[in-house]
Amino acid sequence: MKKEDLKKIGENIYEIAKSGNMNVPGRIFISERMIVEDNASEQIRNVAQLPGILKYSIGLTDMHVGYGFPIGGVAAFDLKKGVISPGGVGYDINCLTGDSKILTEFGQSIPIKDFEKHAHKINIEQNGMVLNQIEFLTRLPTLNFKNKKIENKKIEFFMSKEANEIYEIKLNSGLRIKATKEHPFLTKEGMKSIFDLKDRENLAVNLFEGIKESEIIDKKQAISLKLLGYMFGDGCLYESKKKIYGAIYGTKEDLKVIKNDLKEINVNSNIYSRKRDHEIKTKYEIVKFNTTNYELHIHSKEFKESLKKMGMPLGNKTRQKINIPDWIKNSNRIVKRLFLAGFFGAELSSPKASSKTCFYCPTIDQNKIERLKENAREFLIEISLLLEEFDIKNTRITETEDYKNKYGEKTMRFRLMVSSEEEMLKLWRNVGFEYNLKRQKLANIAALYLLLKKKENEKRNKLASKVKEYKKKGFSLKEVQKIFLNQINKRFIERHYYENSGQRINLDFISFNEFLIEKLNEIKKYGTIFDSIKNIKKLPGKHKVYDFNLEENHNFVANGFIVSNCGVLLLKTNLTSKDLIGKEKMLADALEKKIPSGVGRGSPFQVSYKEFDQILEKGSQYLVEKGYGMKEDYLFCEEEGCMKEADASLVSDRAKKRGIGQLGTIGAGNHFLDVLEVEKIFDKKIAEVFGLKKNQIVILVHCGSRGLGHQVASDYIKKMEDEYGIKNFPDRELICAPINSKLGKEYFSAMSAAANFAFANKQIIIHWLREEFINHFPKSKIEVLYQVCHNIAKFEEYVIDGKKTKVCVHRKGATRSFGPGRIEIPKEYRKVGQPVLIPGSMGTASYVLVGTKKSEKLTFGSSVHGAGRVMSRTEAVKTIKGENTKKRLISQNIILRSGSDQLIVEESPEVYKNIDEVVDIVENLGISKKVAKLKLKIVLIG
Amino acid sequence: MLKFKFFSHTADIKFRAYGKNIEESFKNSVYALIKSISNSKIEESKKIKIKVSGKDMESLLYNFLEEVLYLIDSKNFFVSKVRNIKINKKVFNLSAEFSGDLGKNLKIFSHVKAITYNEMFVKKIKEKWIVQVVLDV
Repeated sequence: MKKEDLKKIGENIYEIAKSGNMNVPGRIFISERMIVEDNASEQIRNVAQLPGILKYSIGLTDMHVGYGFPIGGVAAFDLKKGVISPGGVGYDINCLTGDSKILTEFGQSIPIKDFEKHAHKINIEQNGMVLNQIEFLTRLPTLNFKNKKIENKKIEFFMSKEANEIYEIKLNSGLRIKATKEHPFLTKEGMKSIFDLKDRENLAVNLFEGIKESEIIDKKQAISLKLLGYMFGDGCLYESKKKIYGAIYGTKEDLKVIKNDLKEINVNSNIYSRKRDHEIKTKYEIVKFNTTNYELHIHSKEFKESLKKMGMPLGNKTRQKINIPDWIKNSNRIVKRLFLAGFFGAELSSPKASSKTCFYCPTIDQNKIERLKENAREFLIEISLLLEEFDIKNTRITETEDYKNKYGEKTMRFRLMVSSEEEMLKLWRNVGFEYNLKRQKLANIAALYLLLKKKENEKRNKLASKVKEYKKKGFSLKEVQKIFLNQINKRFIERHYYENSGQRINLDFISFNEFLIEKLNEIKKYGTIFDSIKNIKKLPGKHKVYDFNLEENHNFVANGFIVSNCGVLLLKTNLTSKDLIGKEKMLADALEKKIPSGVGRGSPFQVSYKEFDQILEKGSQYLVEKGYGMKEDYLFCEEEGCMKEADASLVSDRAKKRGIGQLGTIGAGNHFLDVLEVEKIFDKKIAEVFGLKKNQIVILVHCGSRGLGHQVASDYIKKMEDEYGIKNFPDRELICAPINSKLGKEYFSAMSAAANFAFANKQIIIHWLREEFINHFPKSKIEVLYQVCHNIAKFEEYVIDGKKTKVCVHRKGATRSFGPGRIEIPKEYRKVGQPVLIPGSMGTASYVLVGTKKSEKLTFGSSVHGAGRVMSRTEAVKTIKGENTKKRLISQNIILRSGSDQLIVEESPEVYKNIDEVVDIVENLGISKKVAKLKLKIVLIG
Repeated sequence: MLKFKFFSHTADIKFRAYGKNIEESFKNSVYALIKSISNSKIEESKKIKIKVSGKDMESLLYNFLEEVLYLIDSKNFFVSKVRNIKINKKVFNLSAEFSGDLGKNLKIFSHVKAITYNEMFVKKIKEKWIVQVVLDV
């Protein structure tokens, strides 16, 4: 964390001010000395951006960098608006540089960095609390992978950060984008980050870019404009017997889009079909045919009136003067584009090849009775002038005579044509078509084709001038041909060597019709078209990057890695340090033998799969029933040693295989078993309630759900990837499922089973400890003082702004620290608060604390879970000598039993923060209070 | 060529494994994983053939390394050598032959809890394949 980011607001309390998209400020509870440069505060910030987070994103005194969420991080979420996220909710923000243009639903390409300006804050009141929510007024078109359709989605989060590594991808068509290496792009094989992209891999592209203006247009106005434009072509508004009617003609598919749009602005409409016989007299012949026509009728009178007011002509358009409404002509380009694109959806011809590689001019065809000739020309001139504003200048108007209409009047046909490929590109990419899916598709494909053709021509022109340049240098034809051997054929070089010939596209360039078939197949298969990568290069320097999360990802249960239910168990004995004198080594050896680390060796405790399922569903309680302990063992556990939602059938066989042989084992790494002596009592009264006395021998066990828990996580991550894809998760561990989805619920039940496994695991260890102690101390009694969880998400009730509120608290490497009175605490302790167990590291003290009411106010009932690591394992191995650590332990009369020297080094006290300091800060803050200090006698590790 | 290298990571273990081809980089990642768990020389007393599949290169690597952890937890089997490793890059599946020994003969110092996707990548730089993995310990 950076010092300048932190504002001191009290003794050992720092605040990270709310900025950007943080919904709440960050709160970090550390001393000044503990402020080190790392990314933990960035993680606090990320957590603060999650929807529904309440009050603060919290970092406790032992905080250090985790995955997404810092270790020692606490966050509470509102049950309705918030998210639940076992993996620590963490999600990295990645991705695009600020100049990346993002296409909005109303045809604007806005630089991603400008989206922040369009965010507007709204306060939502809920359960008596006011939540800040950022709302974006624009939606973005996204591809729905399932139905392969483009849908407009709301922006949920907007994020930005500084990034060092930025890459630029350039496609063959010349399209380019800058992004961080993790940014996912859509390929034919699903989303891939830049690192996974192969040479020349195909990336999904959408050539339509709309216009640059970034003002936000009102949804109702935007939809009305599109529709008005369309109706100028294929719609009509007429009055009859004082009633107003509105009808729109088109394909069933396009009318459905219109109907949905109208629904968005609360206008009801319906689609009708009817068979019609047609007879049209053209100037060549009489054409007869019948078709099924679809038309959409607008029901809302108010909306029809508003169309009329906007300038929609009433009645037959071919027999009256039509002009583009002045107000549109005087408006900005956003308004003009929407109107034009709507009109083009009805009236502008489809992109179509006139030869192998060339296109017919896009044309607007208008039929008018002869006497309105002037007006028809005027209307097309108006369109032509509007097009000029989109830099489309190369247009031409023609007129021809046409058939007689049903009134016997002579009609004429007027055409507005856009020529030149450059102009077509602008027409299709910047103005485009609305309410015409077929033409949108064709325009997208044709635009890509034109860009590829342009690039190819540019390349050939460059080569041609090079050839001439080399000729001037006196190179012979053969020599020049040799230079360009792999780039172009000899005939090309010959032509440009001797002649001053112009450039045309090469004969083997794909025809548009073939290209079209290829691309239509892509759309059918993937819902989008692709262009292949030309090159990817790394850009120098730092860049600010941005990203969004769209609607679908809202309100999810993220499922990452908090499944191990790693936790700490404290056992009290009726022995004192005096009883231990002279027997320490013997006890250490015996315990090492009795309590297996399990890694690679398994456990002597074997059960059948049937029994194992019972263990997964009932946790400690099942083992106590079977005689491996007493009722009090589980009564003094969080959750009473059993998560009731557990369902063993939702745990995979593979996970069960990783767990069944490991019951009663500690595991290695930072998991351990300590025998300690109560060195000091701070609060006599509470110590008495907990049953602690000075010099008493206690045992501390720290272990989790071993391989089983991780396999459960792994299994469900895969399932969720299949179900939801990894598209919007830069960090794959943050894949998630909605809490109420089938998969979300199944995951929760499987996770509960893993938690029960962890409870049962410790129950077996309790059982073995009792067996072993009896051998050495026949009168010994071992009782559970308490068992706490370190990594868990739970539903708990707090008073927030004077109201009782149930929230979902996430503790990642944090301990619950409830004060007196909470129903979750065993009744024996309820009057004083729950025990908070803080293990130290090798050679340092451990502590028993008691929870406080203040923690409920300050940290959602949470306290630290240990000292907190400050040095990496690799660093530890490099800088610390195992021998020294061993020597120091010997000098302190601590007996160490460990799998290896390396482990001793990796878990050396130097790699952790000073536990005494951490505990003092915690007490000063008042989130828990010291009860007793424990001194290490024997440590079993790995 | 360097087989693998460990990098600094506050709480966990991070390594990169290298190879002339993707198969070799995957193979070396198994050696790095085993090195993170035990320092002992592992005999080749037992052989196990494995097959894994994935959705992309990362998930294939993840599943491949997870298989190593699975064999430790469920069969107490530690990999010493990886042979005949074949990767189909199109459909993302992999077959290989592990030879190794039971854990009772070994000194084990760290239990890798899980493979993570954190900072994971599989990529080719010039002629060299590099995979990066962070292990949760």
